[in-house]
Amino acid sequence: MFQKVSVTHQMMRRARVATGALLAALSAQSLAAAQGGEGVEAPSDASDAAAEHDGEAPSGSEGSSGAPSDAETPDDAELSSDAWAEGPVDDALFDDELIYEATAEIEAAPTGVTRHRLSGGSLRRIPGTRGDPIRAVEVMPGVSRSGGDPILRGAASDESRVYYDGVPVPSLYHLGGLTSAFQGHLIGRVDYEPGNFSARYGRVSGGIIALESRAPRSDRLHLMLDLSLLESAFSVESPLGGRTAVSLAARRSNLDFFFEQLVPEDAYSVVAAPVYWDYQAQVSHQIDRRHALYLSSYGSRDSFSLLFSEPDEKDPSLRGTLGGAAELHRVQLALSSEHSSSVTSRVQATYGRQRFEVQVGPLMSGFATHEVFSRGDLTWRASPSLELSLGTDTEYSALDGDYQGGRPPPNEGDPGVDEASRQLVEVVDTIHNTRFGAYLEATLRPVTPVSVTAGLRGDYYAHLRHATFDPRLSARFAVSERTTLKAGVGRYSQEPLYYYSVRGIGNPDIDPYYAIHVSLGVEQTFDVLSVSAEGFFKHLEDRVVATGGGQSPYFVNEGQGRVYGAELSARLAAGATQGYFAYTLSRSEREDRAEPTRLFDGDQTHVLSAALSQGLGRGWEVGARFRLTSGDPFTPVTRAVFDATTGQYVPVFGAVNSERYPTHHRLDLRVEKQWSIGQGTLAAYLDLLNAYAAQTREGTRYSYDYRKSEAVSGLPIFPSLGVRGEL
Amino acid sequence: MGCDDPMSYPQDIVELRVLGARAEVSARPGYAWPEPGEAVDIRFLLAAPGALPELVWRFEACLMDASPDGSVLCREEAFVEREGEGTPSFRVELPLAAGGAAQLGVRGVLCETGRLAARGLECESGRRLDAAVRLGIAGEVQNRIPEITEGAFTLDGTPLSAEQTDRPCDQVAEAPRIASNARATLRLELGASMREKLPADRRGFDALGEHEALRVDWYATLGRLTPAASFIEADAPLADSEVQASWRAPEVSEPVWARLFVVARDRRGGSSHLERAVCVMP
Repeated sequence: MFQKVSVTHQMMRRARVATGALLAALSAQSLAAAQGGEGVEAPSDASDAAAEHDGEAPSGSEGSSGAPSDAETPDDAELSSDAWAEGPVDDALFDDELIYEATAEIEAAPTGVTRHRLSGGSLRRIPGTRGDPIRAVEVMPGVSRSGGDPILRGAASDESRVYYDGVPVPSLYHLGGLTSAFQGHLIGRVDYEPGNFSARYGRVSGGIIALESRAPRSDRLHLMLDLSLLESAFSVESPLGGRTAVSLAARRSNLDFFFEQLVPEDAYSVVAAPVYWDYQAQVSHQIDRRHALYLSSYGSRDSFSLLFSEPDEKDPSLRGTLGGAAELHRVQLALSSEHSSSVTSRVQATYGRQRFEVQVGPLMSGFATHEVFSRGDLTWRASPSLELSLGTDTEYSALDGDYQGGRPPPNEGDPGVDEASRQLVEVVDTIHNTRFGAYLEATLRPVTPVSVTAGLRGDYYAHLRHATFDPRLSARFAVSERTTLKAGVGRYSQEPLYYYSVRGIGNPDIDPYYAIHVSLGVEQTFDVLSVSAEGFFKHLEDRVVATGGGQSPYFVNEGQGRVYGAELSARLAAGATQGYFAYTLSRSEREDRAEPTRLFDGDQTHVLSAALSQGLGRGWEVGARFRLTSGDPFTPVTRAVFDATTGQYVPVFGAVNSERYPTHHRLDLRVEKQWSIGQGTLAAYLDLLNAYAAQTREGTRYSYDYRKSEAVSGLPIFPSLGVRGEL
Repeated sequence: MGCDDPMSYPQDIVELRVLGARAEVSARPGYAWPEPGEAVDIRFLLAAPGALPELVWRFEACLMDASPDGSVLCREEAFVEREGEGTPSFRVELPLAAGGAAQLGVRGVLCETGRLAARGLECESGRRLDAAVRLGIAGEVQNRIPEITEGAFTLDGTPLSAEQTDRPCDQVAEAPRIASNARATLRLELGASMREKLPADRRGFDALGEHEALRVDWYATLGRLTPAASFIEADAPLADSEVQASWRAPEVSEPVWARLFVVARDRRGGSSHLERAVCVMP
């Protein structure tokens, strides 16, 4: 019973927080799109893998050779930092002969100081990810534990961006982190850049996670069916004639089949259990030797709804319907061209539609957005020692929003979440946002071991009537065949969250803010081990913070911040043994107006991740992932004042984020057995999440008068048994 | 939840509590918001399992902007301070020059069986209780108090009237009775006229709808009330003016008074309350 309450309370808290932040709902779920961003990397194809496997220079351009090229197999695996790209390759992992037809794609030069690349299907076997390669990002250095989208190097989740085929997507995960929102089966590559990234990414001050779809396989028909306790999924890939191939994948959760067993019947009736689904489809067409066209579509939906038969007996503000839904649909057309042996380009246009709604009793938020993204990139390898890249991107969104709820607080550093006491606001509006961006980047290799990349990016935010210019510089120096030094410095502008500038609840005169990234590191490879160490510092200036007392204009550019730390990561690739290790020591601080320095909401001093998988032969494989992180900071309640106006107690908080939850640790296990049956395979697997049932404190639930409290626990032990067939 | 539940129920009166505050303009009975220059009488509703303990209090009033989170955030120093013993009850005169303030904020501290500090809203000793109320400043927009009328509060359909609880309840022949551990339905009829229509420019500020929303809190010294609060939402039809709660009487071995409290609030500072007693028979 107690656990049920905790589980449902978490959902309530999440929904309440989502509702409470007006258009935080908007920001969290949609306005990654409205915020902008770009990133242009084409659907990955064989050439990516080939380039890396061949140990191409980390500072060089990748995957831009002629087409068709050897393809990465769906069971290939690579997790590489730039150092690892040069490291030893486990041949056993790349022994598939499948050839994908795909033209060469324009490829981002690894101008970022630290880019961790995960590619290939066997990342589905990283323990603790439930076969989900996107979740493998969580074992990267600088990734803090969070209840939703990742926190990268101490930046708020809305200060980092997730891209799918070059277009920002609102969320990486379903249901606040349960599983990723894109089927890993069709993901060709995941690039993770926690800082000092290329000028082709803009309007984002934290880090980048770029997902790239894999071109459909065109050799024959491929089928996959995956059934587990958590979800059901399938995919189909097939050639359509000699030059065209198609892929289709879809997935649906199975939670609703047993969700009602988790909630107390006497508390509320379940109207709709949590359900998520997603789909991805792509048609690739090779026009000729030099041009390829990609038409793709993807989308997802998350929803749940509870109906309280009567107000919660301990928190009467929870009443009526509690629920919400988030839905995304996109369609994209892209043309990749190789104009000559030294010039490549890619242009793409994307149309999207988003809907989002959340309701907590009488409070609600809903919106529908039309969005259009366009982008063009050109790379010219002028000489062996000089490469130039330039590009533009445009983004337009029209958002019809309706919000009724408490006045939205800042998304970070505000401990109060009690909707019942907040001043009510009602906003019905249609908002048009347009952003333009352009960049120019030059990579110079004056001598073989040295690579210097200088970039300049400009962005114009039409709705803010403000332009930003971001110069960026990075350098790599190969001290020896196995040792590379790297460094970077740059400016990274960030558009404020959407609702910060909405008239009536925000400040229309708010400006973008920015971060200065500085990093310095070294990469070292050994026989079967690749190691990377990096120190970083970020200074945040002109952050948007709430006004004192929450008075008009509500938000001002009067905040600062800094993040600093060190990361150590390693990859072990020794035959059937794959291992990943990452440790981050960091501190993320904020200053709001003239108030004392405080910790960032998601500051985690120590973040340690270790994952190991071992092939045992005869189709058996076992794996484990362990994660240990400092607990999140929280703000203590010192006392509470009874507000006779509303009948609620209003908490009086101590210093913001002055205390910290206990250390979090968790072990996930996975065992899989695979059988080969003719051309196909059949696999059975068991994922055991939180294997030793560690009690994780995710939050605090207070009594009505804040004099008593209890921990809100996280995921209990959770086994997921499944079977997967592939043909 | 079992007996080991560490969390407490807001509807249980197990110690001294502040349950509400009635604010009424001295010169305009039935109205909660004062105009500049008017006086408003403020009386807090206290409840305890038995007789009220000894207590002292100090309150202050100030002008404030709209509160973002329910707290009283004074623009400047308080313009008046009141202190006393027993149930807090005092008068505040709103300055003629309200300076464009949105609200009158009243906040204070009660010290149960203790003493006030020499200054400020602090207790030198005893248990501390903090309470506050926020009132709008009347002008074109007024705020009528959502009154609870006699006979509007019923137990299984029988109107509850005020009882003298200083005598054993089985000796009060007219006292309403309920059997030990029995369940009863409490109803409160507020009347459709209690929900004021909001001017268009106040919608979305005071309530999310055309009319006021009302909240009714239920409290009991014994037994278990469910729910702790009932709501008439802003978008509910005006005809929806009745709320109800279920009360399970305590299990007793001898006759005992159980006291029930009901407080109606409009979230804008208008509030009224009623206290009634029921004899629980073994």
